[in-house]
Amino acid sequence: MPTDRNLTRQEVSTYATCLLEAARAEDAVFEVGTQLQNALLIVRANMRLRDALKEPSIPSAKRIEVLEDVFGNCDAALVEVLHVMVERDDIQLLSRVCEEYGVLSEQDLNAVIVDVTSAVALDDHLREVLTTKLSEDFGSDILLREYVDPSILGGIIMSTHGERIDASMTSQLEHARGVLSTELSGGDR
Amino acid sequence: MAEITASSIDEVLRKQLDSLETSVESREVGTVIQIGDGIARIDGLRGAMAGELLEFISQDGKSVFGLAQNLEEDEVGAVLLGEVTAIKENDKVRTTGRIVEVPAGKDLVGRVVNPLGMPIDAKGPIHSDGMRPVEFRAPGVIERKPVHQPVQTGLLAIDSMIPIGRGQRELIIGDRQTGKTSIAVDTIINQKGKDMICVYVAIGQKASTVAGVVETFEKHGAMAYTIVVAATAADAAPLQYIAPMAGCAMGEYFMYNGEDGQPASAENPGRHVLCIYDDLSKQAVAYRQMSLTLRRPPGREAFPGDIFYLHSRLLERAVKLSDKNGAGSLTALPIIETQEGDVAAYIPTNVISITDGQIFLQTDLFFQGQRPAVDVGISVSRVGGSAQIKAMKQVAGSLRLDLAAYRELQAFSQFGSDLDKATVAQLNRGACMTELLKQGRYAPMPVEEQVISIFAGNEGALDDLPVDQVLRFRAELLQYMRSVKPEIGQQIVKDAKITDETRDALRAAIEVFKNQFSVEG
Repeated sequence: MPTDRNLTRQEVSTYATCLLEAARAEDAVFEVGTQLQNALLIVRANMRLRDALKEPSIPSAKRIEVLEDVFGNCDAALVEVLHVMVERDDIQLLSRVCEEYGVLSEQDLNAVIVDVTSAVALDDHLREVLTTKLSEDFGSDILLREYVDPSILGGIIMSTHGERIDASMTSQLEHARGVLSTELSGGDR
Repeated sequence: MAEITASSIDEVLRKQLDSLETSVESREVGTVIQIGDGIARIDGLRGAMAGELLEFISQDGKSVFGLAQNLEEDEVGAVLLGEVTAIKENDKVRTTGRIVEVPAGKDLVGRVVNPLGMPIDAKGPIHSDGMRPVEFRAPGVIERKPVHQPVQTGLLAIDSMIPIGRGQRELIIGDRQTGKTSIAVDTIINQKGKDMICVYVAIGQKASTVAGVVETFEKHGAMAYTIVVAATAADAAPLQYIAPMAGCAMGEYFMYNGEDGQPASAENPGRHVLCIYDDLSKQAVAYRQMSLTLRRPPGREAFPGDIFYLHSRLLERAVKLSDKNGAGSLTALPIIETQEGDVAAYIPTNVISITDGQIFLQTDLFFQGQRPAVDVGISVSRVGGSAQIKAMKQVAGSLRLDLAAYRELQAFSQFGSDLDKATVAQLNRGACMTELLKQGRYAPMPVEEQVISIFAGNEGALDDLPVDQVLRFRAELLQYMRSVKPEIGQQIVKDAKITDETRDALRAAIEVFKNQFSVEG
């Protein structure tokens, strides 16, 4: 389907701005951002859900029903925006809306949002250390979006603005495995 | 063998762990939005470069590499080079800042590797001298010099009439089962002792066929100077796509470096390399598959628009370097398979126009017993003539025209029975010379023997022989020359031309042999 890039950009911007204004009214800009991020991960990870939301042959009322079932617990403004996106067959723009919302919300909150994944929940001390260090690096206030993933075994993964610092135990072990399996000592040759 | 003790193991482990860096760096990361058919669509990675190597990390920590292909406004399309099934939606993708590289070095010689340079011949790990990018800029005009040295294929029909020079790109084209691979294999076998590193790239072939070729190389001692890069029909399309470029990169190492592994220069000459791409039609098909799954717009025969550029940039890497750059060379012999002799199809016309000549193989000739089934009428070599040795030019200079005249005459003579004496003689000579060009598989002929054979034909030594005795005559003549008059062949090699003395000696020797040759049957 031919698309006009400028039009698409404007659509994305409209969705993100509307959502931000609604979230601001509820004083939940950061929380809605987190929910939007999670919604995107859910849609991406479930091919059947993604196809169902995109399929034009399914009546939009049915698609909205599916949406309600999955995201009914989310913020009302977010659910409303998702409704409109599904109705207008724009759900494929979700990732761009999410990105645009991230940019707008950082401007609104005057802070940088950093995703932090750790094996166990962060304690106050570690949270403080991270915030101070990141604040120095970015020259701005920091908001941490915390995730707990025991599969990383230990350490921490931080990501923001498409950049990622992976100091998890699994990646360190993987790196060590790579080095040990490829490095040669003199006798191997 | 050194004794293995607990302390030695401990020492080795410590040494290896020393090289373990624990620093953490910031990397650009994207997320897989969709994956299927070996193609991934990635969200993020705004800084990814076209052709950049991407690292996909699966949920269980497994790492798979991919190639960034489509850089779009909001996503990146990439092809996966490894275990496709390990990667799922939402997996992370990292840029590496590198383009695809393959190991290169002397250790690869004699080995069978996949397009990523990993050994597949169960002969242990390969310790490469370094890595080379699969996509590499072809040398410019100033860095080159004209082709002037021959690549002897050992095939009489080719070396005499369609000579190939070091640094040339000569296409081998024909239908299936016409002997395209045989020419390539014979050429590699003939490079023994000629300071040539050969790279045979098998693309989209059956693994059993590749195994057969490797066995042939081993049987004839050709693996000692050959690298086999195999992307079989079972390999993913992206691997088949990069295979010729990877083979070329492995060959370039020898051309750009001297014997000591240091960069080639006037003092440190580069080596000569022969690359065979068997075949580029299958690579084009693999690239078409990749492009269609990447949703690139299809063009003629559904191939993508840049298929010409794909082949031209690969074949442009064939080069004869200037003396200042070490005078190394990379000769490319791409193979194209035609369908029902249709050379006007998209890929054959593209590659014909890129290369410096083509060797056409015809099914009809093959089944008439004319093997190699080279159609000398439409096969050409645009630059190889300057690489031919003078002796060959002296004897084979008019051979192509003579054979063309013979074929024309033969076509006319079918309509009438009364022919004058001169015409009968010309027809007879043509039939004998055509018979003389027949050659068995894996039996390459040294250049001096080729010169002697054609000289004998030109001198009319074959004219009074029945056509079915020509090959026996040639074999026995060459045997006679090797055992009784070896100095004549040596003289031809030494002078690289036929002097008056050599001509006289050759005439006399042929005369003597002719008198003792008895026609059988």
